[in-house]
Amino acid sequence: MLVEPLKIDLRLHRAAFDLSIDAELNLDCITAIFGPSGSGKTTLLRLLAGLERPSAGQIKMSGETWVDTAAGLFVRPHRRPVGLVFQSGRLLPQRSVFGNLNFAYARRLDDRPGHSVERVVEAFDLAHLLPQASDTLSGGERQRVALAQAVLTNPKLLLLDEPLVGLDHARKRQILPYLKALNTEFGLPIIYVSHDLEEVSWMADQTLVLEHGAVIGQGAPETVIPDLQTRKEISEKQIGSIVYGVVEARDETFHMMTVRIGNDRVKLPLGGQEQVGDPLRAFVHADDVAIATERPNGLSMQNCLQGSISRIDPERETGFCIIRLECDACILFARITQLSVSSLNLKVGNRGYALFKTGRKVG
Amino acid sequence: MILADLSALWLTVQLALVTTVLLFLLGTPLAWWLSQTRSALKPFVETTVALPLVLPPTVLGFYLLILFNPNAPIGGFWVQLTGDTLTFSFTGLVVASIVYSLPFMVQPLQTAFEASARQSMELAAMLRASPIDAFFTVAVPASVRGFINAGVLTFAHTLGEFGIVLMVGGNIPGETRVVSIAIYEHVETLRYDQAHGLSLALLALSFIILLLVYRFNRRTSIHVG
Repeated sequence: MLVEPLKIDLRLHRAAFDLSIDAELNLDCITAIFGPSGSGKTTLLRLLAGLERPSAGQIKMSGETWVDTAAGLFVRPHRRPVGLVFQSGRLLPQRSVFGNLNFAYARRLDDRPGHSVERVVEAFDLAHLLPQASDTLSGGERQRVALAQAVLTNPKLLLLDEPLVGLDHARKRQILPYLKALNTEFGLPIIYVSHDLEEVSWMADQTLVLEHGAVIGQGAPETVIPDLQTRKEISEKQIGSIVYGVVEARDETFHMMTVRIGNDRVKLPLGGQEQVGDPLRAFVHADDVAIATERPNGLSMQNCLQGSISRIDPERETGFCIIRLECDACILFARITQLSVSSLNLKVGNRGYALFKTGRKVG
Repeated sequence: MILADLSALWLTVQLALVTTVLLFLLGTPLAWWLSQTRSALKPFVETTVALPLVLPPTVLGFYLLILFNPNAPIGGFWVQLTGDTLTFSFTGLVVASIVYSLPFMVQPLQTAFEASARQSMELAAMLRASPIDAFFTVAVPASVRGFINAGVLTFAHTLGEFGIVLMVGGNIPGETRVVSIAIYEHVETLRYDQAHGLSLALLALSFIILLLVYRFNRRTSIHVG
């Protein structure tokens, strides 16, 4: 199915902030907007939703023009077929969970399959919360209700502002597949703001990277993210790589699967839903990767990829440095001590083996 | 308490009720506009609304008296329309009270709308509610306390009006002679017993009304569905 892209060409001038974004986003997939805080991610979502008016520019969504400042056109937020889940799960006060869901459902765009109240309540596990007042919910509960509410309006574009912050791993595992299904089964495009690389790797097929209100990268996460790793805006605990591969085999006995990345193979724990042939992204933290100069034997770390070292960036004041290793079909980062670099005599251009434990993976 | 005093008390309550109802109708849209707008006019409108708080009632009364004069455009128009003058009439008192009590209606409402409404209104718009739909289904229920506060303050404040009534309304029994004027007259004519009676009645009424509001504010949480 050919979907027209979302065309954004916006300028916004604020006292302490300038935003200038010119991009086309594919709407047949999940898009992550990634960037440090203050880079304009939330502002971009608010512009798309119509909650902010741009100083100049256009927004065109599948043939409809939502904003065209030159023509004096501005479609007001409640007339845009958009759902927005605010950061920290904003809900209507003084209403129960059911009241909140019903408010949204009563004003839905039209009837489309897959969005009945029952199905959404089940997907977000809200049945036992329905009579509760919205201001008595925990943070994670609020976010689930807010997601359910947005889905119930049957939007043609779903905007999510860090919807998984504050949710535990079990909840993420529960909600992510449903959000992905909204996209894959019902063709609902999702634009998803995050400053968490792991989340981006789980969710997105397309990444738009912002910094200081401008686009500094766009493309598949595994190609865009590596180039960001040396930028100081990304905090150290975030440094890592997104590897993209295809599930080649499942091993029920040891609860593991083999994933092929180019000509390399890695072992990852089974999540339960992956089938042979499924594409898969996994996030590998730089802290979980070690570097060897020869292929080692007798090691518990299962995964060993060969590559060549393309960068060595010492961290300031820590004694660590970040090694970038170009493997056959992915780029891996390893955070190791400068002492190790010196004693192994690692240099840019050297061959190296990246060793890592099974890696973390959700969704 | 003699009949004339009861009549003054009843007139005062009528004036306060009519003023409060009319101010709800006028003050709500004004407070809503003030809470939502980014217009450069906003500080000027806010200042104008707050003026009755600081001006002596005699200044307001003086200007209103001039505006209400049958030879002035507004006063004259009113005479042509109804055959009655605005000066020294109950209608004139209502208009004067609306001006005088305007900040007591607008400011609590504006505060309530600003506190509760901005974020909830954005969410409502995202749930496809039009601004009017969202005003009635989201902003008003979220501002119930603001409405109660504004209504009671307006009512109680109008009960105690004196200077502006004296300037615009005079002292016509059954028409413009409200409690505060009656008390003033009793004191002037050294009828202290009657002044005591009316003063006590006004004191008790005001105390009870305010007490009900503060108790309500403390105890009740409001849910709409």
